[in-house]
Amino acid sequence: MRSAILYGGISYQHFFLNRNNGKYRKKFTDVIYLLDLHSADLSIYDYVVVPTRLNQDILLEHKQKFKDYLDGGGHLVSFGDFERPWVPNVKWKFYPTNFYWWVNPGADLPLYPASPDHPLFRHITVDDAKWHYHGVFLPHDRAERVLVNEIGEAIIYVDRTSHKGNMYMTTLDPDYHLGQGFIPKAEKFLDGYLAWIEEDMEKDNVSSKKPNLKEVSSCQ
Amino acid sequence: VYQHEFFRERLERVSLYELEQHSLEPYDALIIPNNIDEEFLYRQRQRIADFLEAGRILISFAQPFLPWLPGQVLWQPSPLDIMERTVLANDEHPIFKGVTEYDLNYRRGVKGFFSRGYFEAPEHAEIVLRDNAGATVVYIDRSTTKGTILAGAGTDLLGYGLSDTTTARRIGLQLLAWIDAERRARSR
Repeated sequence: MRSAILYGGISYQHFFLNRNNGKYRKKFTDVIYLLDLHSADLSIYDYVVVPTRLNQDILLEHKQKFKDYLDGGGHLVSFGDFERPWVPNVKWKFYPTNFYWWVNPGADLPLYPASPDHPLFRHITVDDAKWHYHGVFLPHDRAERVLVNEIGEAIIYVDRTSHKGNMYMTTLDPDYHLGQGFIPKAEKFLDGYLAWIEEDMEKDNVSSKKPNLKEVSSCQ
Repeated sequence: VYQHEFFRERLERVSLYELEQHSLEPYDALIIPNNIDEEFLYRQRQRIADFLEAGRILISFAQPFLPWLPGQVLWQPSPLDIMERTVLANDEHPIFKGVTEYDLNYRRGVKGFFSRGYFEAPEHAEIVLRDNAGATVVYIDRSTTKGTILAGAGTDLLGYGLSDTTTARRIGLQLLAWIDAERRARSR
């Protein structure tokens, strides 16, 4: 699969991409510097990753580019806070962060699978996603909620209907924590999450594959 | 942070991407925050060098992975596990006076927010904070340039203490007072 991750020149991202001998730099086909996004052709990628804490004003300047990419069938994988409407149909709600819940014995960060059989949880456990979150998504009715909080607000969801391509949205920020060198379980989460996303994209591509012209003509 | 009541009368926020067009002439001090585009900052390194050559004060909370900070200082991740690492308090320094070791290291019982790395400080630098392995966490460099550099290894001295009523709240206010004192000392 061809993939690209956007890069804003922030130190955490540098250390994230280069940790473990460049494990994540190698994971993605290309790294696109945010100020070069205007000249990048996104249509060559199966999916584009928008990592945590990028400059949201610059993302907003590329709103049409993201929409065109999604409408063309490209998939989007977004991490962390969503402070500007740089893609349509996304509703973000901020919460003060409960980063200290685990200090107290018996306390929990309440997160639940929206459906116990969801295939993501063949790759990770709910516990792998439990460090903290800065907000939630309030997805529209046709979206697929994957991981939710105690009142059903989405921490992870997939929008398969707004565009031809899928939007894999999470408010979690594993890339930030791996780049900053704390919360090591974020690695298990991220690796499992990306493995599920790639598996899901493959499945989606197969189920939505239409016969191409060559196949049509060979049948005649 | 810039809008916080402690700072809004004292700080003006300038977008990094407008730095080329923005005159730095009116400012005594320039603060580089933690989450900053270092690729762009590196291209602007001559502006930073010129600002310091004019005898001004540069304060950085960044974790440099590119050599834009005069002295070529780069941030290194601490080899110590967060639970093994302690940033040592320094009651003697005006920026950290009255800030307890607990508040420097813990927020609501969680360790590691203040700094997760260290610097090899330039020779002759004044070491303001070290960790328990002796590594430099904050230094002041008055030798490399004609100005003053205060660099913290990822330490957000303005924002770190703002969310709770702990002694860490003193850091930002004491940093502003230090800037004033440093400016006065430099103009003497």
